Amino acid sequence: MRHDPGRAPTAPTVARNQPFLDSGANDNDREGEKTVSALIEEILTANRSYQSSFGNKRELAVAPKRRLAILTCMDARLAPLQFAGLVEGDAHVIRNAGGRASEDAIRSLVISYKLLGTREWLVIHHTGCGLTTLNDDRLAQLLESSLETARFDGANWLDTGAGPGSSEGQYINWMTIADPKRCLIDDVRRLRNHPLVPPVITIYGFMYDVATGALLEDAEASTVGRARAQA
Amino acid sequence: MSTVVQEVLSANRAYQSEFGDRGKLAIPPARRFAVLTCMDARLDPAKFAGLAEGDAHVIRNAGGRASDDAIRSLVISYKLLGTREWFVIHHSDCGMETFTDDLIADLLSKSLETATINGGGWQDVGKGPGAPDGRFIKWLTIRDAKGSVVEDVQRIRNHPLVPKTIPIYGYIYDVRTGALIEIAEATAVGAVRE
Repeated sequence: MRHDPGRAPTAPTVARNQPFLDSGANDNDREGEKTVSALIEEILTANRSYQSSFGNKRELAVAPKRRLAILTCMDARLAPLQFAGLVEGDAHVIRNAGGRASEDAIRSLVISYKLLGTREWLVIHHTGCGLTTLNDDRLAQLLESSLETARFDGANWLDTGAGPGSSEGQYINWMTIADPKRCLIDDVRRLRNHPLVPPVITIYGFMYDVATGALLEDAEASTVGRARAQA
Repeated sequence: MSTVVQEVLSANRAYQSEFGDRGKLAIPPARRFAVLTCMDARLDPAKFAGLAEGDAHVIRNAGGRASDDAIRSLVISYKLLGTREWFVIHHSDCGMETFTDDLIADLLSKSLETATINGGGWQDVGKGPGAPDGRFIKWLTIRDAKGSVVEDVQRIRNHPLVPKTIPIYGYIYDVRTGALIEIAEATAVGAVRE
């Protein structure tokens, strides 16, 4: 596959347009036949191009210049620095499945302010999140039947893989999302109430709309997250 | 709303206006891979690895460590959304190399303000009170950048919910040059198991 080394290769249109309900991840013929080394070569080619225009980024300080941290989802459709107009050096970006206020996200955010001086945090969940399509029990069941990728039929997840799976999934809190708005507020509240999070930090709650690229503030979440004292 | 957030929203309006057909992207990553890397502000994985929206999952935390939460995310990434190759990318000059669990717990016990670093290491200059809760957290600090990549790849490789068919590659990103440098030992540890 040839492409301009400075840009990511574009996936086939058919894959791009495949709605989630058709579960494009299961189509083995998608990018699937590309060899492992081809993917690495594409990434390293793009990386060489990035290096060649690296310029004075070598002088960036460790501490985020705009004193901002973003907690958001790992979802492939989200490009947080790009959708928020940030460049290298500006802000910490923490990402996990769901953009959830997990213990690990809190670990990262505490390091972010305590050592590296961030003062405002944006919690950004998004529409169409995969974590809203099932609950913890269902995910544990899917993992118990196999360690292959499951299939979504538009309503339910089905496992078609060859076993064995593993029962370990029962012991994990997967942080699935039943009610997206509630979940965003709960995550902001959990950060706000954490004993290692100082009251002077402002925490905002946003939903990112994957259909339009818009960041929409959730007023209730931001109210819950507002600073409790003057810096 | 602060100036910074207003700037973010103004930039977001510009992004929306050029959003094009990104609204039609599928949830499963088109290039079927996931990246685990550090939250460090100097890193933009989309740029340094040439990712467009829709291409890959990106998981980031302090250090880019293989925490339980990173593993939760990676398992969701392959089990529901079909990724088949994973990159663990730590970086040079990581803040996680500058302290220990005891040190950050001490700093947090003194105050909840930002500490300062100088030749003598981290110093707390804030007004108290702090909180003792930092003693009960595993901070996943890093002593040896290369060693931490190998350990993290190994932890993921050995996890009972990670299928043996997923290759896991270990890299260090050089913040001075922008280069991705493979750690052969990590990639060997992360190789597919038959």
